Amino acid sequence: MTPESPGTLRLTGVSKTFEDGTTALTGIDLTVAPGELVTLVGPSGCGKTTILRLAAGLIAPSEGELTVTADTTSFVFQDPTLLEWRTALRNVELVGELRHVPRAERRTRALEVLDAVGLADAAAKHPRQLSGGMRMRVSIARALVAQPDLALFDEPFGALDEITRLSLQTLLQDLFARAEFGALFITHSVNEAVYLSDRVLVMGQGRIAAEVAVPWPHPRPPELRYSAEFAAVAGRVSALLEEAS
Amino acid sequence: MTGPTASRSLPGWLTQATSVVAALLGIGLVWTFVSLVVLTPERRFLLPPPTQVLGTLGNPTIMTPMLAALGRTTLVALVGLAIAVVVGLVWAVLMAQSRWVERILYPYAVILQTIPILALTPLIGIWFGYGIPARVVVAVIIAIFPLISNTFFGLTAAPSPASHDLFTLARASRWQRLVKLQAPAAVPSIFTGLRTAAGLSVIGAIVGDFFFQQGEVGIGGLLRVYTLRLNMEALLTAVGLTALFGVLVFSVFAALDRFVVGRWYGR
Ligand SMILES: Nc1ncnc2c1ncn2[C@@H]1O[C@H](COP(=O)(O)OP(=O)(O)O)[C@@H](O)[C@H]1O
Ligand SMILES: [Mg+2]
Repeated sequence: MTPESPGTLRLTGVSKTFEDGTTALTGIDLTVAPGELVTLVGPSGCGKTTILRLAAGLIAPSEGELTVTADTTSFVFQDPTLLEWRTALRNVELVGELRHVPRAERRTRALEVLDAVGLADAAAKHPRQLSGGMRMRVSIARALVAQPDLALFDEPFGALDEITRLSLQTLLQDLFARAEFGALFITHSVNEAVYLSDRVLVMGQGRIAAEVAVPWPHPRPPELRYSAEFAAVAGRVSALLEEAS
Repeated sequence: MTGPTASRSLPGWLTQATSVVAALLGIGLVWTFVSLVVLTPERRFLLPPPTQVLGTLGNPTIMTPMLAALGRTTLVALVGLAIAVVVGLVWAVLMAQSRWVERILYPYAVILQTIPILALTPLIGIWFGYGIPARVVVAVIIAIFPLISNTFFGLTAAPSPASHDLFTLARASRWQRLVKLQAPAAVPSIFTGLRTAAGLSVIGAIVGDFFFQQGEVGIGGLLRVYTLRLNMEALLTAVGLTALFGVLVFSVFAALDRFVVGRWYGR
């Protein structure tokens, strides 16, 4: 795994100050290796979304260096961001459509991915006919259909109820074990961070304060979340989070 | 998203129809009272009782030209509306392209909206003549603003910032963004604008009839003729027909709005 293999995200000494003078980030060093799942936890306003937007190329750093070697980067927003006039299937097809992927090919792929997120039966439904959890599944399918080597998630499960949230964590964890992509995943849930990722980065105001490695290989059984070893790791992250903020 | 809408009691159109009938009955009662009780017999010509006015509906020498005139006005309104839709949408799409174009084009829209049509009629007459084309121009001017403003608002404000990010990340072209994001997101507000503009195009056509009387007469022209002759029965019938017509046009476009937007958005 050289730093140049596709799917690497690297931020070195990155700072971001917005036009209005708000300094959101200072001296961020962060690497996501190919196929690695890294989560960022931190209180709201600490700069998590800003890091993702930098990684996606939506904004530029004020200082420091940012390297993304991914061929395809996908973004999953906090809100499902589905186009309400399109069916679930056509929402998943959107990115292929924008990139002029032939119709038959993009449809086949979209159906496969919808099946993978458990929505084979909902392909013809419009977003308004779907529950919040189902809409987020469509949103994840839309991100995965592009076969990204790097996926960026901005608190995608934050607005969902606990049960839906747990089932989506399990789903993502499965998808992650099967597909080959690196991911940077933002959450403010410590348990979610520990369950999903290989490494948890703990953020304080505008900086990364600590890092915790999570030992278990993927796929991780859902019961792992109720084990004592899991609680120990989560406890450490929580303590670091409190220290940082 | 809202759940199933209230369908407990009467269907919507029936409730609406009931209230329209109730309103008409109310008007009829007050009208009869004023005509027969308030006005003395020698002043009753100012407001003849409803029965007498409704009588003109069976009089072909009045009704034939009146319906023909209403037909012409309808045509002027529809042509005016069609032009307003095309020009208004293009205008809004151009304005949505950049702040720069917006700053240039928006003031003209506001001027069109705020300038009293009376002040423009001499110019319209000189440029377009005093017949049907001038009437169409008046209809366009009066109807166009809600189309421009609602379309522009829909194109710029309806898509969420996140959905714009989605398109940016997919490296969508400006055209793709317009056609696949902004335009579909703007559909509900475009239809709101269309509904308002449809009603206004009727007003515009009647105002146009009133000012530009060359060529075949429209209902606005007849209103003027009846007024000059103090033909109150015909005048009141024409006013009533015009009002009904306005309501009809508005309802047709409201139904179209519900049908199209409802199908797309479930609203
Ligand atoms: N476009 C922007 N302009 C100015 N300030 C911004 C902008 N985006 C974010 N910020 C500020 O940067 C800080 C970090 O924001 P954000 O990255 O959204 O935090 P988080 O996602 O952790 O809640 C906040 O203080 C926020 O107000
Ligand atoms: Mg955020």
